[in-house]
Amino acid sequence: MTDDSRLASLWALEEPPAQDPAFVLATLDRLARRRFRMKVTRLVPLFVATMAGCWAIAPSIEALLQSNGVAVVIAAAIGFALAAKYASDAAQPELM
Amino acid sequence: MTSRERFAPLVAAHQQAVRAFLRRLCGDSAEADDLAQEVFIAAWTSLDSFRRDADFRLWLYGIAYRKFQASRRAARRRRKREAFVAESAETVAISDPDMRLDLQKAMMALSEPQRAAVALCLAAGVSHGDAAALLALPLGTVKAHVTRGRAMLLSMLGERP
Repeated sequence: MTDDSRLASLWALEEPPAQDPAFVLATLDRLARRRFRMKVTRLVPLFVATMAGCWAIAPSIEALLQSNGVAVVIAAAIGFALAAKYASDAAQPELM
Repeated sequence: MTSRERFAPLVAAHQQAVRAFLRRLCGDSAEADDLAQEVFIAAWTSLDSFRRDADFRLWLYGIAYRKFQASRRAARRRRKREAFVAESAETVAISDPDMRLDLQKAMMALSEPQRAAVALCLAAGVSHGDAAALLALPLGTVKAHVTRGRAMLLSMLGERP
């Protein structure tokens, strides 16, 4: 046995398995947790901005509600929710 | 198809090579597997920076080497903070004649760049040129690391280089 083939055979002993579904699943779970944390981190400024916006426009909404403008408020809320969903889905890394 | 479903085949196809490379660098399979998972997560988050004409596995090796270096730096800082005497693996491996000197221990006696060069060129079959680019070292340095590393390994394993 040559020196190189001896080294190769020793390295082969410590080689991980070619197929290892447990490792793949563990990696994907860890990736999912990381993505969740990234998403939460990304949504925090949006949440803060939303709260600040709501606080700022609260008097106007109150005035609208008192003048029977409930439909307008609901439509605005739906529009805002859709915009927030679009913003959170954007900038997701694309895979090959 | 979700991102997860698209990424799974990439992990499955390259996990063996990345884990084997990191095991040879770390000398600890649990630590190596933990780092390997970090490598795939880092790869997923920076897929945009991957050049489509480049070798995906070499790119992963590059991330793996940087992750390994970062983990070593963090471990050194931790040891300093805890006021332990940082004793290199080299001293441990060579100073104890009764220690069973297997290949992994012999690998740990090499310097980090030497170990990386040997793991890439001798164990993983990466060319010297690719290894030099990946480790950010001159080609001549990589060749010297491989030659000396191989000689040291064989010498420690009781073979003539």
